[in-house]
Amino acid sequence: MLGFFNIHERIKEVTPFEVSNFVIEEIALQSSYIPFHGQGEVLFKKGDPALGFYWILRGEAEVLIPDRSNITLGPGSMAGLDSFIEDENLPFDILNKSKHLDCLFIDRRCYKSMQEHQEFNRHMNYMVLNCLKNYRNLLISNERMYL
Amino acid sequence: MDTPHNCQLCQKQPTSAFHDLSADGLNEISQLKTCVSFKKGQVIIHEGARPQGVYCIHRGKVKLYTLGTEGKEQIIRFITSGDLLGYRSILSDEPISASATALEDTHACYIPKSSFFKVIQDNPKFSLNMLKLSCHELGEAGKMITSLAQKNVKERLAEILLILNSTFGEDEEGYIDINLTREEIANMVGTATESVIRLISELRKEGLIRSKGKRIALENRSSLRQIAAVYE
Repeated sequence: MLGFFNIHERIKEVTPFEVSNFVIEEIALQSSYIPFHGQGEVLFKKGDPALGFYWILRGEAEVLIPDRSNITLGPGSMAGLDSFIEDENLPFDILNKSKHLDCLFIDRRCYKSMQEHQEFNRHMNYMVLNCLKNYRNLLISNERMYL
Repeated sequence: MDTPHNCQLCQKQPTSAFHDLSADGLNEISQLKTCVSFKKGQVIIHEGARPQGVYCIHRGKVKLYTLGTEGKEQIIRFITSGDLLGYRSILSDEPISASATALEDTHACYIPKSSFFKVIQDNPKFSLNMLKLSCHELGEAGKMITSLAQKNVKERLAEILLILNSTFGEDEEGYIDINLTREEIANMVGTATESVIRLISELRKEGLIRSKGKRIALENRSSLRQIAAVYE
């Protein structure tokens, strides 16, 4: 289990731009740290309300999509961000894939304060596009033509 | 005051949900738990998340609340030393139903889900305690719903002040031993901050309470009980 200052370090590691200690402290205070200890532990179950999303600091999670290959989310990924932004329930199960998975759960209040920092806002928009790209890649080529 | 690594040495153990647990059970938890601390204002857990363990509060005060659509907090209750956080979500296999934020620097023990379940399976008395605790919280939630639905703001404020006093006790000057902003009191009562400020001043003029900055002391409990329509 990570301590408060280790969480700071992890946030720095998964943020692809320079971020001040003040902003990191703010995120660490407003988010909640959730450690997962075993494969298959549930981050979200299909149908859960997306009241927030998980920002993966260490380890991997997996989006289980029936009849398609699963999507693996590594450090820096934001699990459930698309449903959270759409304010919809989770369409798929998301499970822990690795032995140790450390996440921050970001709720709407924390998300709004992150959005106030332009670079975070841009990064989260990029993460949503990344998520759409992952879903698009699951479609077979002739399905893509009609997308 | 550090959190002891051995649960048998914890001063809070006799008043916690673990008070009936066997020495083996306490040892099991001691081996697998992690001691954690939270800064004042730090969120411990968010509504909607699926925690993979239970927090047993060793020292500190924590508020439980849900956020409304406009982002306004409704404080449900407070938890303090010896209380458990997150166990209902684990038992029901549902996302957690309320967020928790530390009101002061807080120390807790984090017990992973697997060890918590093992202790439940191996200790019938502990399972019964968890059942009692769930039923008690259900009863309290029912009372709160009734209070919000049927009582006016002044009655609810009087009731909340009595609850805060019995939950946290008093400091050496007789003030309720918790520092809450007027906004937090309003979020618990379920009204606007301005209304709470006005009613606190009204209760003070009537000689039922006294206040100094954020701190409030109860001066006339029986009258407050009458206003709140609660009886011992």
